[in-house]
Amino acid sequence: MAIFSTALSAAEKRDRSIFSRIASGDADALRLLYNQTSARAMAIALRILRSNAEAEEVVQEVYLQIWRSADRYDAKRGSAAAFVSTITRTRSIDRLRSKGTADRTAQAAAEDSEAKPKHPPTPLEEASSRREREQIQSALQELPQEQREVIELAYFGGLTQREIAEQSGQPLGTVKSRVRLGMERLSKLLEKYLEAES
Amino acid sequence: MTPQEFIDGVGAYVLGALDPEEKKAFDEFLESGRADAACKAAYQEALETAEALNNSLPPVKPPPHVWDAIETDVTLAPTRDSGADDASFAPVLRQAVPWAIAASLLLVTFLTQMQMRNTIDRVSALEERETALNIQLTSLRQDANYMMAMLDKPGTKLVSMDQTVEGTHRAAMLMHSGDKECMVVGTGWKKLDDAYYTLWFISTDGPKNIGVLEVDENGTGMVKIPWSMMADHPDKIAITIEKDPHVSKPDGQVVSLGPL
Repeated sequence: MAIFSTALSAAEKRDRSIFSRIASGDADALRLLYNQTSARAMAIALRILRSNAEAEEVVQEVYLQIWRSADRYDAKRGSAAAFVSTITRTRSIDRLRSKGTADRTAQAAAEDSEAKPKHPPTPLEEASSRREREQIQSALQELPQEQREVIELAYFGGLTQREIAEQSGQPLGTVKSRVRLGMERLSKLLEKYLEAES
Repeated sequence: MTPQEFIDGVGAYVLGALDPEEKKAFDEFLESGRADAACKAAYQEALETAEALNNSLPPVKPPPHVWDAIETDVTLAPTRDSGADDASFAPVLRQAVPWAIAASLLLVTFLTQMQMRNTIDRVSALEERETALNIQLTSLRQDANYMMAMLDKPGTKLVSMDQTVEGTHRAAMLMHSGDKECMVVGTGWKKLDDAYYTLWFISTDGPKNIGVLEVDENGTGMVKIPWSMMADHPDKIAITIEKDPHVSKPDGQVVSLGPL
């Protein structure tokens, strides 16, 4: 994963610049950030909420939150894309939890999203991200199924290890082991794929 | 918490899979400075792995109206930076030779700045209020558009709910089985301070909590119901007043009921 580090400095400066401009009230900078990151934010919200309408509302809230508090962005703690993804995921899961708008069961969280995107990405956007996505999906597929499931339930289903254990009937210790081993294995697999690519 | 315990649990930590107490312990460990190089490396690696999960999803471009709504709000509330040009009087002060004039100017400057600050504070408060109202307006506009779109759609079924207690409250459910859309709208509802209008689908398996009807100051509210809630083939919809909006079985007073 360290292969990212060489390009980090330039990206960090660019991200800082965008957020600095947004903090000073530059709507064009917000538009720039939106163009760069909204497709991923929408994908995350859709994956978690399984509703186009709710995902669109969350995406709107995310960028308004950034507009109001861009000065809280710290480039040292992650890229702009990661920052947007984190806010989107947090807001989506908060909405899922507070409104009870979805079946947060193990089955529901594990199955493929029923929501179909109304606006698929353009061919250019699709081509640029497809390769990376395929590599990550390959790494996920290489994980043992039970490890992949607990990771997806936690990350996209908003479930804690305890909730996963309760809903799946597995001992809590087993779930914890699967999360730990799954994350360690996924990290190594990603590293392997990215090194092969480079 | 030991460094090894941190490393063992950091994956669950970045996935958000810890209970609140566990998460607090991890937060405190990171903030305490006890994290050694191995802990920091494990944390960074886990963050990158979690971020990769986001990248595993095919990108979905939001429809144009999402940006339009953001742009509207941003344009109406263009900036939060009310930085005053407070230094504009400084050159005048520096150029004032006679001390008496300087003292007078200083006093005038001080009073003017105080007045400016008060004005700026008031403007900032109004801007914040305006921003909040704009967000509320956007939300209401979205709800209204969504409802109108459903009403216009052929095949939309309208279910009117009956009052089970006296009052001004009215509620109805709109649903479209083809598009798998469902929503409940209400008018004339009294705003509750410490309880929730909780919605239930009732099927042969019993009642199922499907969400909360949040009402505004005008007594109106709307809630979208995920189509997956229809999986049990409910035959009734009810609204009760509950202290806890997440209860699994209705405990409070039934105020509205309708057949499906």
